[in-house]
Amino acid sequence: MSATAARAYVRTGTAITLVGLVALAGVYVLALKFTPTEMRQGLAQKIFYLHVPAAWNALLAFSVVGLCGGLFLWLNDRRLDRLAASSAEVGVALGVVMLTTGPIWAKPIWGTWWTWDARLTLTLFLFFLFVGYLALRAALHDPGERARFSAVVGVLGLLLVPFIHLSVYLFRTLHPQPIVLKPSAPSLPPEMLRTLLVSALVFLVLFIGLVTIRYGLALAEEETEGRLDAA
Amino acid sequence: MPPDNGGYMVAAYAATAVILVGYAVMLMRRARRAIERAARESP
Repeated sequence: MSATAARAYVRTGTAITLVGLVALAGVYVLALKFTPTEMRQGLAQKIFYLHVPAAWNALLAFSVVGLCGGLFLWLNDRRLDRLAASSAEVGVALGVVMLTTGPIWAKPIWGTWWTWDARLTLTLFLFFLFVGYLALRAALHDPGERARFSAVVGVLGLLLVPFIHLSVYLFRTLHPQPIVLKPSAPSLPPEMLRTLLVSALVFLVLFIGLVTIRYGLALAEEETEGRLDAA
Repeated sequence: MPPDNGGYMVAAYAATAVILVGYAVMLMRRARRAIERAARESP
């Protein structure tokens, strides 16, 4: 029964992911061909259309882990643990995109690949925390223990997310302040804002597709794990 | 005249494609193997 359900999740997730990857190719065309080049930063500014959506969706993924972790500790529902584990892995993949494109953008604009300011350092800590979350899950074999311990780590990770968003206001930093997710109107020309929002939507589609595949994978692994434990 | 830094843009766009497509393919293969294993071991 679970193998059938797992297969359905993987098929659905694969279809959504393929749509997302094709749409990502469309974002490349939109950003490179139909969005104006910023005069001061030049072509390197176009990294913004990948870096920011990857960062938003990585933070969304880590928030899902924390929320599902909190709900799991309350409701003890295995589906929440499965969703948290899936979201954590996809969040780490999106985090890799964020932490790769960020320094590539920083080098021509700031003159350095990396700086240990609050926003960058907190983001790196959050990334390592969720790499640790995945390592913890891999190290624990008892499913109940694994779900409980990792839920606590997920909730702790969630507490870092608002600090990361507010860090550009709270500390002196090289990182630009938010230009869209802020109380006032977005400070971006309409063509650039359109490309950014389309890209964010495409990254969200990819996030949903990849999490759905990973959820099916977790279901199939639990099925095998349960049988091996019973044998 | 904007600065000539298109190489950084190309590197970032290429890296993003490699990471996302690579992860998606790896995940699909892992899922297929896990499902085959679960189906093989089912009574």
